[in-house]
Amino acid sequence: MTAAAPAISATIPARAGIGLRPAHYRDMLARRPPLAFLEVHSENYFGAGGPPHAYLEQLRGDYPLSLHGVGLSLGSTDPLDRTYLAQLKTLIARYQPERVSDHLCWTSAGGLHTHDLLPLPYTEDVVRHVASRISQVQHELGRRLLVENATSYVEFAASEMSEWDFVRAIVEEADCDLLLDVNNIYVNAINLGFDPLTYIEAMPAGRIQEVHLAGFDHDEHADCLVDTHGKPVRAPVWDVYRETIDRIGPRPTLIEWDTDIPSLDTLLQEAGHANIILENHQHARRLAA
Amino acid sequence: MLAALQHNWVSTLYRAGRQPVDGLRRPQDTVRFEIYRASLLANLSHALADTYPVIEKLVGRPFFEAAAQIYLRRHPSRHGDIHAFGGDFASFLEQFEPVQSLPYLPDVARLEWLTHQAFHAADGSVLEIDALASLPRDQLDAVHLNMHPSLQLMQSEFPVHRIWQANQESAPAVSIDLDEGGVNLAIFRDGMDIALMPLARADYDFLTALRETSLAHASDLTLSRHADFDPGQALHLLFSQRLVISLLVGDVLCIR
Repeated sequence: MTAAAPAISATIPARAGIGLRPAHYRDMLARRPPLAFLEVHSENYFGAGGPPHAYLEQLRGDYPLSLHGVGLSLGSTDPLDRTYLAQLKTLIARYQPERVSDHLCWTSAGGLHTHDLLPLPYTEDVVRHVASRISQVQHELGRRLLVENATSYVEFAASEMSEWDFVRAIVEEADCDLLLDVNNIYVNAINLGFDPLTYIEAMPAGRIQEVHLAGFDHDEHADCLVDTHGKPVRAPVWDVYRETIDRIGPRPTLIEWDTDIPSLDTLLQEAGHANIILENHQHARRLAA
Repeated sequence: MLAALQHNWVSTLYRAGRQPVDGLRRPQDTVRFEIYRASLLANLSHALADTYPVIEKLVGRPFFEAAAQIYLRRHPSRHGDIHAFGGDFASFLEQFEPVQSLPYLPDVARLEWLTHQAFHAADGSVLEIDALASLPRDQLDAVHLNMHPSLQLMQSEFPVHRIWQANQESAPAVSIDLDEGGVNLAIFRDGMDIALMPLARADYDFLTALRETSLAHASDLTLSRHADFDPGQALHLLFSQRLVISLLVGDVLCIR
């Protein structure tokens, strides 16, 4: 592995990074654009070798790294997947990433996996269940985990609290960090009818270690915004992002794009847009001081 | 409560047809639940197409997607890593009535699954043939050859390597005679690419034996079946393709 990997978890600058996808491996190596960090889906590097690792090892020395998982199934009632955890541990040992994250959702039950980030009912019992799973994972990995707020297209009859109370209760009970996905908050706000700023103001700002931005689509049949990660970040989401940064301060911010992947230049433009918002915030703070 | 809810969701999502799940609050939630069903089908059939691009090309996308929907209900995903999904596709195609007129299809799928394994397999160092030549004569008999972790072997009655190559991106159009005969195939990773190497039957048997036993014993076994087998030539082939990564002499591992 590369010698440039830092031995101790270092910080990531509060600027924009992008998701590293195979379509951009060669372009990234040739250009090595300035970015605060790269994020990869952990599972894409669960194999022992081959091209994915060859490219990531060459890039890892130049960028802080965030491992973002979609398969821990933190909200599942199945036992924690030991094979998956072992693969994640191996990957963490290999790359010494600055961040390790997964989602406040469930993806599997009865041993069957859906590979989709499925919603949870917001109840006290579920808070305790998910928080204890996160604590267990943090203990097994020997490091702090960031958990990301997810989307929900439906409402459960069993829910007894708001999503923001649910998220805050879990991260506080588990004592973990939060990956705030602003697009997910916006999508849920429109679909389920709440003010995204109410949600953001309820978040424990000190635990927010990273922010995600992505594009959504509109499903006309279901009259519902869908978190597809296949479009540029939409204008109202940029507005909510600006409001978020004004409230919590600058944070490392990821441009996520997973379907209909565009050119690297398009991703870099989106990252540039986030950087302008982060810089304007700091500029305004300096003027105020 | 949560376990029952999750089992209900998963079994409903994997079931054909449009049953609703229990426990949703509003009327529009039943319509919106369909987003999750569509997402499961899309995620898993895309994953299958990523692993089996040649099968998809051979049968066409609409047929592939229809077959994928039946496959994923019979062989649902059982691992959090989506790359582990699809390992039963070749045996599924063997039994799948609509493709019985394409008898080569299961073997093409088997080949694609092996290329998928080879792509993600561990990396290996390269050993030069001099390492073998420099061993003392008395050690040569007991030496074991360790092969590159990506190496996979398969046999087919059909020219599956030619079918695979003709269906790679930017491959020129060729016609393949299905009666031209089968192939003994070594599949491995060469740098960033997948390599397919057709082997003479004797070389294939030799390589198979080398995975189990010592060099001397593998040579004897192969010679007993193929009188014209030339171990020296076979070894040159293996080393020239960078397939040998280390030697094991007794308990001592020789690398590079």
